[in-house]
Amino acid sequence: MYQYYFTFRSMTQAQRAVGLLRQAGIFPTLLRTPRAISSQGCGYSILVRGEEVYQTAAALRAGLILYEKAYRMSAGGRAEEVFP
Amino acid sequence: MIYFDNAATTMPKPEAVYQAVDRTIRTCASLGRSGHPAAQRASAVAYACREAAGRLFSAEPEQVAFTTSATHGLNIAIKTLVKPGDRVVISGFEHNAVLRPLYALGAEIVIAGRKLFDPADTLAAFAAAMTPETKAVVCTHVSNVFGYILPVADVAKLCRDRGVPLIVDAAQSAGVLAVSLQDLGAAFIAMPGHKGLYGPQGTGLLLCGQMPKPLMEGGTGSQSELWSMPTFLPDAAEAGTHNVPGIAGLLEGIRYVEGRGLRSIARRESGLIRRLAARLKDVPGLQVFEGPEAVQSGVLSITAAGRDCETMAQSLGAAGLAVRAGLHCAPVAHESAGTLHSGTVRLSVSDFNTPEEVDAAADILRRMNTP
Repeated sequence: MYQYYFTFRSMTQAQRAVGLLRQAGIFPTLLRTPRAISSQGCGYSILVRGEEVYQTAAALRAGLILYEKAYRMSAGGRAEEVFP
Repeated sequence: MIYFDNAATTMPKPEAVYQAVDRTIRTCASLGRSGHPAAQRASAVAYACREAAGRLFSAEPEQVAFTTSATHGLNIAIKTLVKPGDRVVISGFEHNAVLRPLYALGAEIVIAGRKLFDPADTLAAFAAAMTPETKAVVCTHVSNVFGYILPVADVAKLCRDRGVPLIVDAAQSAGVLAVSLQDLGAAFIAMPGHKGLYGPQGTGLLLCGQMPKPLMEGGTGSQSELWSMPTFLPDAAEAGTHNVPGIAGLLEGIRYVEGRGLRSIARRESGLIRRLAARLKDVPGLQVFEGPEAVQSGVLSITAAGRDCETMAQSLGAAGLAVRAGLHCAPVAHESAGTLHSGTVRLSVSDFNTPEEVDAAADILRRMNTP
């Protein structure tokens, strides 16, 4: 079972992403980026379901909202980049 | 008390502003620092405020930076764009929030347009003063002393045509007149939150058309491994803990303005000022600085022959009329209008004032100035 994170460098960008995705019918959770995947310390992420990952990425690109990276994280905390 | 000191800060505020401050200080923690619900509530309030300001001023939420005042925003803007010795053109109606940072930086300050209520002269003066060496232009949208609405859209076009960055001081226009970051193409637009936007004191906004240099460095809740400040908006301009209750109040103030509509507010304020000017015109010894309707907002300055403006304001306060007197932190504007030595008594209205208050204020002034 994986959790899917899109990371952002600022909270405001992550909040903007949430607003855009809601309009697209995706309802992500906004949260602090887990330390294991925060590239420079203290960032923000949105958490989406596995079946929403590609739709989320497409919506963000279409809305010109830049995320840093997308990860899937296992229950044990192992993170892999989804779109390397 | 009749409160005609709204150019300093509006009073009263909409009821929702008081309630939001109270609710937020009880329920919200620090925004952008933690993930618990109280912090998330704070973050949601701040983002809602950025979105609301973005709607009102045609800006993206990221371009809306929170400040403590228009002065704070102007300092960020000026210190981003201006280096010692740079030639900077400013209007003849600027506040010390513009003049003093430029002076402290050692900029070459060129004042353009001294004629009150004459937008054609103001524009021509800017055009003449903007040489190829000009590094920035700073223009107030509305004079805080005389209510003169400067031709800021035309000045902005001039700046765009000549490739000169523009800073707009919207301290007296935000929430009353249309202000658009997108249309003006300004580098920065600074405004208080506590005047025409009806937020609490200690709030302000800086609309960023370009990346600001931090005025202060510190924690932003982002990129914390870096020893340098983030280089993205709005974090680059927002070191330190935010004034979340103030931001919540500001959000409700902006919602009030959106609900009323800029045109309705401007029409009301302009109508009140014209009514006041009409009732003061024939008071003996009173000079009323009234301009054409199209170029004067809800601010009116007066002087009384043989009366000290501060003494007069003190007497007016005792009679139940709250006004401001003196130079209003804008000596350049007084130089332009020829009132540097006398100062003026300033009466300024908000959307909450009434024609009845105007008539009562005029009666007080008439009694006080009738021998």
